Amino acid sequence: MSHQRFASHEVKEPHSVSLKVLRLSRPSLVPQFPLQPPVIPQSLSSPIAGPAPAVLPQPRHLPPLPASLAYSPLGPTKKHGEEAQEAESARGERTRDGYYNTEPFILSPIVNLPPSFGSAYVGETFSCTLCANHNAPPIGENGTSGVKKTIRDVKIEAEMQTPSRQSTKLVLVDTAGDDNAGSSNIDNDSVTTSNAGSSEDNHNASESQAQTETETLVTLDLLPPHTTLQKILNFGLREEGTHVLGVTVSYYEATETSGRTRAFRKMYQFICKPSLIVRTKAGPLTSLPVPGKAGKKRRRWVLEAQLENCSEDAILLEKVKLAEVQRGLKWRDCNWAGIGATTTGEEGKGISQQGKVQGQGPPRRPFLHPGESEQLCFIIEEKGQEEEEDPVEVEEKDGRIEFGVMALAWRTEMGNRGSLLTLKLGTKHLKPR
Amino acid sequence: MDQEASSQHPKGHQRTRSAVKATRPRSSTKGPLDVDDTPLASLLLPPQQQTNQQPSSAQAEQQHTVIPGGHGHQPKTPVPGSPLLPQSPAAHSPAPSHSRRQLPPLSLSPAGGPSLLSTSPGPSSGAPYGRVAPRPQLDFSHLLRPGIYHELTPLNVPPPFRQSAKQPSASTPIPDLLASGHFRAAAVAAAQALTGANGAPAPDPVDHALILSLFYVRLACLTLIDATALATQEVKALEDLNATFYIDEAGHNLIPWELRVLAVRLQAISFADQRRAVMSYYDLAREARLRLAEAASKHDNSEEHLWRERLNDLGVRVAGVLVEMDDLKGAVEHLASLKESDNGGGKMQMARALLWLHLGDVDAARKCVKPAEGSEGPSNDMTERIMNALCDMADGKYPEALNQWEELSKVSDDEMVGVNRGVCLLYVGRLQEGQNLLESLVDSGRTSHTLLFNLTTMYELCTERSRTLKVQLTEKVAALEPTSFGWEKTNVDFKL
Repeated sequence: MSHQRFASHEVKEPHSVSLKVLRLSRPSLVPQFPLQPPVIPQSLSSPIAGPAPAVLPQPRHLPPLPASLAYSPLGPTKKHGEEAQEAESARGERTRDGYYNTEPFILSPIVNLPPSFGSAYVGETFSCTLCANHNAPPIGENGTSGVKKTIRDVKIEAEMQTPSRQSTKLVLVDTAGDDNAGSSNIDNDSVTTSNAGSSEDNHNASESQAQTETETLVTLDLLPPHTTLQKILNFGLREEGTHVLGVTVSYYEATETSGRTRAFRKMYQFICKPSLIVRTKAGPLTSLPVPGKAGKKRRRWVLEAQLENCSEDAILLEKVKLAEVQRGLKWRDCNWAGIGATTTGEEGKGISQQGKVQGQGPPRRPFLHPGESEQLCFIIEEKGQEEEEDPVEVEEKDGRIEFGVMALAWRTEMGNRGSLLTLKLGTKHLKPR
Repeated sequence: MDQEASSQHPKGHQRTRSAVKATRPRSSTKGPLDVDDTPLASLLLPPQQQTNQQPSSAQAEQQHTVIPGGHGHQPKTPVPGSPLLPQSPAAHSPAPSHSRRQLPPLSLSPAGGPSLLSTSPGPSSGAPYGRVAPRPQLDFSHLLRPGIYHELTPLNVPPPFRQSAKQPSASTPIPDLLASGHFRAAAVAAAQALTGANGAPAPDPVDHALILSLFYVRLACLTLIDATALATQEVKALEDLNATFYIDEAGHNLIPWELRVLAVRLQAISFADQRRAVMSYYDLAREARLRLAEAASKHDNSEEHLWRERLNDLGVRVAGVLVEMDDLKGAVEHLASLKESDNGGGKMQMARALLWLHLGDVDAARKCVKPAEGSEGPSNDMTERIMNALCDMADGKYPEALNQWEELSKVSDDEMVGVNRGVCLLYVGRLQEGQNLLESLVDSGRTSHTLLFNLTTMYELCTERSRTLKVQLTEKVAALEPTSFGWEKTNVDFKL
């Protein structure tokens, strides 16, 4: 995180529990730069001799040097000297078997954890893992602790202070994700232990199995040495500006003779930036005559919007629609989604017909590099009588008609999601032409 | 595309044909003021070439005087003092006229400077005049200068590697070093072999196969030991890879293909201009097409296969550069235009899907690997299963993704499946399991940068004393048997 500071507390003795955090943005695909293996002339192995140029073997297109790939294409190698032979023999057939690297393409299917905090943008979900670790001193190292300490009742609490000075208590969950913020179980403190320190698992064949079934300690709240209580928070970033994540860790530290509750607090500060700027403009369109009712017309408007990517990453627009549309109005999507397929939901029902004719699958979603913008357009009109049994008059406030809000959803690298709702959009009532 | 390439590189291949005859013996004393050529020269040189060469000879003469070779083992030749001076007939000796043949091509930038292809006198003694081709031996001593090669510091290598008994001895031959993944040692050995620093004599400056091969080993190894920045410096010694100098009698480039491909990337980095790489790859692709057509006309199947593979390879590399340039839309279009190579096995499909994923369009990524319509039910296609798991991660559905990685790990021991599963475990709050899993991968001999990066990141999360754990990890990895995947790691790999 960009900034962290420690709150002071009265206890001088170092804490037995420490807190570590990592922002869980999406993992990223690891790039690779495959190299062709060198063709080495015969003369290289022998002492270099003679002016005669070395004879090169007939060139072949060989698989790339394994070391230049993002991960090793072979199965685990034997530990005692067999691997050289195996690697040789495997170069032909076995490498291709069960081998899913995309070389020589730059992107490989293996992923890296987020290397840094990155940038936080309005509309994204901020996921972060909080790890409370029991840092027992290594045996025999620390002079002061002949005393064995037991740590239990470890609790992590977190709250986010937003620029509008609101402090939100965050629900800590077990899983990162976009949609489960605020939902699901609150306190499910099952502590898993690693088998570090305990007897090593000798059965390598079933090791993956053995590890997924790490036993859950029945003594619920105990945090054994060198273990971690991991929690994850998901927070929808809605405001621009400085956010402060405050995390409080409390625990009960017991020695054989005494015990006490201790706590500490850490603050993490980061800036949330806007990623999409939305500018809108509404104007009147010619009204449509209502069939059968001479003189009565249905009013129409056009709502234009310009979306500008003001972030540092490319943005793929996924969805754009009008929501909370005023009763008595209907809208038509004139953008990419409206062309390829009908909009879902009642708002768009029945209007976007034209797109279907064009066929050829859904058109490409707009992809905006930093600084690029995209122009959007919606047509809004009053519902006709044939569509509404009980026609509602379009409500006007101070000569202003509110259409609704615009809902935007986008994705960035590795599918990271973002979404925004605009304020109520509308127009001054203008006399139909 | 050919049009584009040719317009960008007007020199490269047009020179090719004339290069065959660019070997006129000329008096070293010929200056720009000597209008009348020797009869011999006019015989050997096409008239057009002759006139072209005129101004450049002065250039070459100047270079000659600035850089008098500098290689002690070469026969001493009379060095003209100035291109304008020597009018004396004595200077028209045959020896310097040989050396003149190694004139750099005109296309080489005059501003490229003296370091460019040295015009030092070649080893006229060993020049094989009995050969069929009239072309003399080229002098590659410009790649033998010790000044080109940087010192490699061992300080960024963790001590357990530096002090290991597994460090190769200084006399280990380079092929063995490569086979056992001692890339730093191989890079050092290659530079030593080129400069004759290790007791052994430097290669004969005319042995271009050996020199270029060593040069490739050097650059390739640098990129493997996190020293790509040095490689981008050292590649400059080659100057213009398409220069006539490097073209042989048949019009083929003497530089090994793999070196030309690598040089494209390194040069683009050093010029900080990725577009240049796109251009250069297209240039290579044009040549590959020509060679492919040549091979086809000769009905040389293996040759044809080779060039087809190389052409495919270049196509994918262009997409890679576009990704690096962040021109993702361009990369999508480009990848869509490429055909799956014969033994690709769905690789191209996967590459396209990964690109969509990188771009953020998860739906498009899923569509890429969807089997043809009609085949319903659980899919056994590994490509699709891997992509689905990745797509679930991109959708933020980590528990689902984890399930899929676990299923996949039952049928595949691919390192990627293991690492991705470990990463997923962290996202579902099972850090310690993830850490154990990744550790077990290291125990089984995997040591990719990705694996080590993820594992050390987990170490940083799970303790205050991550340094201790990282150092222990270096010891563990250093204790593994060296393999061609690369044995020695750098501090960066362990985030130390």
